[in-house]
Amino acid sequence: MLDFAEFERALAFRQPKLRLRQTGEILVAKGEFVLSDGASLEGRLDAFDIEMLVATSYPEVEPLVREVGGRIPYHPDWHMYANGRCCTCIWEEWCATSADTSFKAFCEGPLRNFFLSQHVFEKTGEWPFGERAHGAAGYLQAAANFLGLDEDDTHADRYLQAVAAQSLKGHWDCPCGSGRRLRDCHYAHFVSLRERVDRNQAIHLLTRLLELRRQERVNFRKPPR
Amino acid sequence: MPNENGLTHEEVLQQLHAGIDMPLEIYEEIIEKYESISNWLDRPDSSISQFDPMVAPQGSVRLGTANRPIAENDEYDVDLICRLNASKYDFTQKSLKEAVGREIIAYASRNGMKKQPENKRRCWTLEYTNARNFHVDVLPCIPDVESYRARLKEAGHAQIADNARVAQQAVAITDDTHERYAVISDDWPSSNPLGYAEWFKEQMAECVAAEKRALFEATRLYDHVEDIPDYKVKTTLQKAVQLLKRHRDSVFGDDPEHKPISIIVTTLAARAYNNETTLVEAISNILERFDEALEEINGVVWVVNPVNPEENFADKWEEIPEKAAAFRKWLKAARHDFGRYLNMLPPHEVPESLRARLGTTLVEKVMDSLRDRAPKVAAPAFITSQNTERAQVMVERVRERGTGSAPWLNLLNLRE
Repeated sequence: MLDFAEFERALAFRQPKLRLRQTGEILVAKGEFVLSDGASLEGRLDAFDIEMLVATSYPEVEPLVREVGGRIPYHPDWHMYANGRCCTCIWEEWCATSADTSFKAFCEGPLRNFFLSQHVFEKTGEWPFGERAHGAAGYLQAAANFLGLDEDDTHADRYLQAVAAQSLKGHWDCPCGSGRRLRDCHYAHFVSLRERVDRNQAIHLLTRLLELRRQERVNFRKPPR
Repeated sequence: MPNENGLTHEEVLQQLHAGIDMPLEIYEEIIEKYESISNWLDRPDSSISQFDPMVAPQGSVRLGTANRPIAENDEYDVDLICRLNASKYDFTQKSLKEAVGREIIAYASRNGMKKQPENKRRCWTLEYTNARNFHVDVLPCIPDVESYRARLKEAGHAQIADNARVAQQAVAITDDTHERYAVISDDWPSSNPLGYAEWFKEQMAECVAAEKRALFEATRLYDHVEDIPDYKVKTTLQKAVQLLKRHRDSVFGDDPEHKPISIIVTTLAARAYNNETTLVEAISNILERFDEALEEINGVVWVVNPVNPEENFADKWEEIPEKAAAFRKWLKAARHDFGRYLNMLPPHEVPESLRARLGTTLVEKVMDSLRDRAPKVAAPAFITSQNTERAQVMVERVRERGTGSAPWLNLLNLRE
C-alpha cells in the first residue's frame, strides 16, 4: 500500500516541479519530471512533461505514466502508445527481480531510466539499458532474465513451466529441448533453479505470458482471404 | 564552460550556514554568563549553596543548533537549567522556584540589570540589554533519576531507562499550574533536556568524532582530541537543522503561533540523519525522509520524545489541527525550495524562493563573496556535448547499481 506521505517522500524533494495530489484511491503527479544527477554543477540534465497516476494499492497495480509535452513521438519505436502512455518496463519482471519495489525505487528505477533512455535515444539512437521486444516476445525475454538465462533463450517459457509446476516429473521431456527425459538430462539443474527462484512469481509470469500469447493470437489473427 | 572554477552547492550551503550560525564568541559569552550565574549561586553566603547548584545550557545552545536572530538587533534566546542537588522532601515545587528566584533576583540586582527577573510558569527569565541582547530562561530543577527509570521501566522502555548517559540527567521541574505545586509531594513534572542532548549527540557521534579529529590535526591547539569542547565543532546534522530552522522561521514570520516547534524539527531531522558527511547529502536525505518518524497511535500523530517515549512532542496537534497543517505546509515548502536548488539549478543560481527564506541580504552577501568562483558567462541551460557525457555518467551509475530497466511495449495496449 502507498499513502500520500510516502508518495510525497519519493517525489517532493527530488522532483520539485511535479504537483502532487490525491483523488480517492489515486495519487496524481503532474508537471515537469526532472532528469538530475543530484547537486550537479550544471543543474538538471533534462526535463519531460508528465502525468502519473498511481493507485494506493501500489505495487499491485503498475503506475500509469504519460508524457504530455509531445517531446517523445507517440510511436511503438519509442515504447510509447498512441495516447502518450509510456511503457517504462515489464512491470511483473521489475517486481520479480528488484530487491526494492517501493514507490521511491520505481521513481529512481524504471521511471527515471525510461526518461534517461529517451534522452540518450534522442541523441544517439541507442537504448542505454537495452529494450524489450514488443508484446509476448519481450515478455519471453523478461522470463529468461528472471530465470537467469540468456535473454534470447527461446526455451525460457518451458523453463518457467518447470519452475511453476507443483513438482518435477522425471518422465517429462527436458525443457532444454534435447529430446531426452528430464531425469536423464537437466533434472539436478531444475531442482536447484526451483530453490533459487520464487515459484509464485514464476506462476505469475507464466500466466501473464500465456495470456499475452493467447490475446495476441486472437487480436492479431490474419483476416480470412 | 559552466563552473570552471568549481563552485559547488556544498560550498554555497556551507557559507549560508556560516551566515546564520550563532558565532563562537556568542557561545563564549553565553558560557561566561552561565558560569557567572553558577558562581553566584554557589558563593559561600548563597542561600542555596549547600545544594551544589549546577547551571548548564539546554535546548538549542546545548545541541549546537542555535541561530543568529533574523534581525541584527533581535535578542539571543538562551535556555539554562539550574539543578540543585536536593530531593522532593527538601522542597515543594514552589519553594524550589522561590529559593532559586531569590538568588536570581539578587544576581540581577548585583549586576545592575535594568529589568527585574520575571517569574514565568516554569522558569525565571533574565533580560540582558548590553552590547548584545540576551533573553535567558533559567529552569529550576532537582535530580529525578530513580523515578524516571522506574516510570520508563513500567511503561516498557527498559533500554532507555538503562542508558546511564541519558537516565542520569533526568530532572523534576516546577510548574506553577501544577495541582501539587505548593505541597511536599512525589508528584512533580519531569523532564530530561540534558538526556535529550545526549541522545542527539549519539545520533551524530561518528561525525562529531571525525570533526574533532580534523580540528585537532588542523590546529594543534589541544593536547588531546578529547579536550575539544563540543561547541567547537559542527556536524552536518547540526548545520542541516539550523538551515531548516531558519527556513521555518521565515515561513512563519507572520504566524509564529503555528510554527512547528524546534524540538520537533530537531528530533525528526536527527531520526532521518544517516551520518551523511556533506551538508548537501545530509539536507537531501533529511528532507526526503523528514516525516518518516511521525507515528500514528490510536489516530493521533506522535513525534515521540526519544528519551521519554510516553511524551508526544506534537501533543498540541490534536487540539489545534492548524499546527499539524502548518507542519505539512512548511515541509512541502522546504522540500520544494531546497529541492529546486539542489536538483535543478547550478550552484551559483540560488532560486528566489530559497533566497527569500534564508534571507535575501545573506544570500546576496554569500554569492558576492563567491562571485569569482561563479562562471564568467551565464551557462546555457543545455549544452549538448556536455549533456551527452553527463547522461553517460548517469547511465553508468545505474548500471553499477544494477538497477537498469528496459522499456517494453504491450501490443494489446496499442488499441487503447
